[in-house]
Amino acid sequence: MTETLRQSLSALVDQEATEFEARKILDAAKTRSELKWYWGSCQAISSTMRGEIVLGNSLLDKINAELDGVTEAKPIVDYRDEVTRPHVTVLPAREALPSRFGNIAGQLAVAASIAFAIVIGVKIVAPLDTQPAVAAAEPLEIMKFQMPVQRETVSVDGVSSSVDAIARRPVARILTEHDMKQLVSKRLSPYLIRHAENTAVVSGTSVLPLARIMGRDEPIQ
Amino acid sequence: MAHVIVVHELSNKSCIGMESPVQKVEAENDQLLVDRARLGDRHAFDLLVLKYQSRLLAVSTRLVPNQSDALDVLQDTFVKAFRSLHTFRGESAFYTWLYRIAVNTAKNHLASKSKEPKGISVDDDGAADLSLLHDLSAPDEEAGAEELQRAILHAIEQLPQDLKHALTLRELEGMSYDDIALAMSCPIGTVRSRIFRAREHVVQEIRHKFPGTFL
Repeated sequence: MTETLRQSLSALVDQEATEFEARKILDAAKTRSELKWYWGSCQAISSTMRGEIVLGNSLLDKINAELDGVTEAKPIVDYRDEVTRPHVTVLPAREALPSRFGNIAGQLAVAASIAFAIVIGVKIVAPLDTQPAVAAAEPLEIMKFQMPVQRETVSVDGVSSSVDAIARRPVARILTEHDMKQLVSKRLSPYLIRHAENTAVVSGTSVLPLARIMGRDEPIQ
Repeated sequence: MAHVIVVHELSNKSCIGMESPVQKVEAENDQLLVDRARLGDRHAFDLLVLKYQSRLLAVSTRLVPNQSDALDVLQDTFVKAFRSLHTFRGESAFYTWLYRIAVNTAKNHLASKSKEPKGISVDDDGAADLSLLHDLSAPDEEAGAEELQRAILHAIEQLPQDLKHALTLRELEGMSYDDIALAMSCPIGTVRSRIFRAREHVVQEIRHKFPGTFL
């Protein structure tokens, strides 16, 4: 564990770490067990100074053992004849069938309701789509921007034919230039933040990408 | 026995009402750990356990007759907390939520043990007879914990004055780095570095004297 990481962890103990640092520590905790014990030591120092009892890691081990035990005990186990039978008892097909039918029926019901919702949705949206007058009034550039956005929204439902149909029609709800900028900005910001995070991790010269994020108040050109 | 619980509950609730500056800040910043734990990140939950176990032990020790029971209650509290993390909506501080679970767990624990009553005596001021608390705890563990605490306090005593001052302002006064920087007339980065170096020194001492305890 590097000194920088330990210093960040010390700051996190005091709730003074930045969000970047906190995330980095939590990610590192998954692979580095010594980090957890450094955290425990810092907490022990705090407890001692406050006059509380220091517990060490024995309780944590017990808690983890109990939580692991719960997850391991999930399979159905037949203890009546432990010696001759395997530990995991397979349910007879007679008992398993109703639940399988139930699952299939449930899946069909969900699929049917989704299909119904899509049909109703298309019917509601379709009248709005046929407004060529409004579409003609808007500049061509905006229409170019809007097409991919619409296609992507509809394709989530998995209906490719209706996607193409809607995409070929005139613009349904025309987004203004401001709306488009907001959409692009919404999509772009997480990428920029992730880029800044990665840059912060891999290189010391991470000021520039952060500065770009800070300057995002200005409208996109 | 029921009367005893009520007395202690009220005193603890009043303690919670008086939030120290440290508790206020913690309430905001535990959210990241809680969010991770809620997504099934056991490491994040481990950090929360290590953070609050001593504080909650002090609570459960006041609610049940002996320290052995208090440790059982504490273990059950954290297990229940992990299982019901999805119900924590962040309306209160995470510690407050844990505290409620601990009180309920202690009540259930006492109810299940009510057939064999062996309570602690409480005088008129509500102060428990603490001598009974040590009767059933493991003597080796207790001695080890006391020794560890003595070592930590000794290591803190050995710290250079500026490091000790910064650490004390943080841990005992609950001051933020900004406030400590003002109090010590130094940049905030220096405060951060001093507190870190103070902890490093103490951790090295623990590692040297108690190998395997934490590090």
